[in-house]
Amino acid sequence: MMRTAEQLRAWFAFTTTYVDANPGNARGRYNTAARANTPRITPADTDRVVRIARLLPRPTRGFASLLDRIRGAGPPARKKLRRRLVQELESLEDNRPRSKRTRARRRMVRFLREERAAGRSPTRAEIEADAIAEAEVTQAEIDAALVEQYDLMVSLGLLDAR
Amino acid sequence: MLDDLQFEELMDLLAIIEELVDATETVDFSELPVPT
Repeated sequence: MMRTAEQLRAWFAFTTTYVDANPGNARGRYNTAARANTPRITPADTDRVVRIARLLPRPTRGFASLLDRIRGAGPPARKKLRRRLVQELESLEDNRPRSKRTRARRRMVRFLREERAAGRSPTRAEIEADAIAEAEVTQAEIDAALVEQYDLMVSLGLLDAR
Repeated sequence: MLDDLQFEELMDLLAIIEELVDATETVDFSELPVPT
């Protein structure tokens, strides 16, 4: 079952403002007193944010803020994860060519939203046919993209596996 | 391969996420410091 729109909004607000619950000082180093009372950004958190960042059509200020904080606050051991996050967000920002799976997913969501905005309810076949034509992907690439996204959503707790 | 219900749930969710992002202030990464 999918989460309600309200639950999703709460999740999204939490994710994009996560940094607010992880105060550091102005130099970006963790304040010991604050750390004692608030959750730290762990490598697992960074990994979660990287995965969420992959879902976004473009980076938000919340993610930029989080990136800044992680960049300044983490010990050297987190360097690799920070770099991954930087790369994810920068690839979103500059519209570098994405994988065919990503292209397929983005096209399908765009088409669905455009159709709904026009008062139509496209069928699965119509959505997939549009992606094949417009994003130049194959049915196999669409299927792979959908399974990948579904698994990601389940792992993030946004869909229940069936 | 996803069944039709899974497809519908996933597409609805992805559409909602994009709508939420549309409603959120976005950022120009040129504003941020270069990673070291």
